Amino acid sequence: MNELHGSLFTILQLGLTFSVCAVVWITLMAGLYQLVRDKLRHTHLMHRRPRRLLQGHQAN
Amino acid sequence: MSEQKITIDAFTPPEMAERMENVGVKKANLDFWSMFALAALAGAFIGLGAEFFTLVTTDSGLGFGLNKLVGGLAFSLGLILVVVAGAELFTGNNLIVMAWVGGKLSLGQLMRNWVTVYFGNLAGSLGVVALMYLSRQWAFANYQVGATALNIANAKVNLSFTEGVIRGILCNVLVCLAVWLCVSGRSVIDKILAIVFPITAFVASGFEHSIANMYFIPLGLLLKGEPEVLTAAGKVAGDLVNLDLQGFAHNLLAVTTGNIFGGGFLVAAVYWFIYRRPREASKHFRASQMLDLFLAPPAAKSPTDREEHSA
Repeated sequence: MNELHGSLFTILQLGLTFSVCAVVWITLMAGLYQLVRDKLRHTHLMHRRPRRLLQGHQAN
Repeated sequence: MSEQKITIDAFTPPEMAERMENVGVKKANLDFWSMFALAALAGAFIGLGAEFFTLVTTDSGLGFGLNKLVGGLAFSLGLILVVVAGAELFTGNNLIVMAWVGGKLSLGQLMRNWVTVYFGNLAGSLGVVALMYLSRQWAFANYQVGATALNIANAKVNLSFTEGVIRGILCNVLVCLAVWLCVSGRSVIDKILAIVFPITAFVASGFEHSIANMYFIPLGLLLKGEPEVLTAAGKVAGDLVNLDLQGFAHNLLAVTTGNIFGGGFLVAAVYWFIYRRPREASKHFRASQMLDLFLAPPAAKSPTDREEHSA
């Protein structure tokens, strides 16, 4: 009986830890991916902008 | 002349939820240096609360429960400073999840806030650790203050990963409830009263706060090298094998995970679901709506983005 109780306790503990870590870490990974993607997009736009302005001046 | 209506009633929970979402958007849109400086302040404030806790629980002559209660009351100083003086605390900012699930922020914006604030808190906490160590305040009461700090740090690094996660969850449920109650208040007194009981409860119960541990464990790491403190604590170097940088990182990983789940999911997401979820849409809820939260582009486009799209 004690062994069964002990095993159930361990399974419950591991299950809870695993599911909490999965939820939190997947959210963090998705967030970091979005953060890096947004930064890259922003940097890319900043690089393109002067070229566009220059092209506008030449056209005028 | 129009009469100005003055009210002293606390905000109702639906009003609190709306205010919390708006506060979340404001916090997430702070510029980097303001955010980092406010976060460093919060780390320092929590460090001061932790130091006060260490001092009053040293040789207090009280029984177990009362000693914990007094320690918890002392620790409340940290969050009172954060809320009333204004600072960015990672555990409290887990409530910004409300603005994210409400679609007012992207996950990337939420993460920018969390990462900046987490490392800002670490910087502030380590600053207070350095000041406390240099002040030799730990030598008070024949090094008993240092011994208490060492024992606290050692107990924290010896927690199992599961214990760290679960105590982290319970801690941040109470911390975020304290911050949530503060949103209901209109005056400083309202806010202080709202903070004291949940914070005292989490400290007295021995739950784990990631930012407080950024003070407790590094101070323990420094005090480990002080022979007088080791003698006062009745420890030898072999008793403190887990008190190292690896033990610190292990504790932070478990406790931070628990803190995020407790504050972000069990408090913020639950209150958002109760008060802020779109009623009509919830009848036809699709899995794709959930996926949008993780994959959708930012809710508010930056001016540069708008220019690019209009070009």
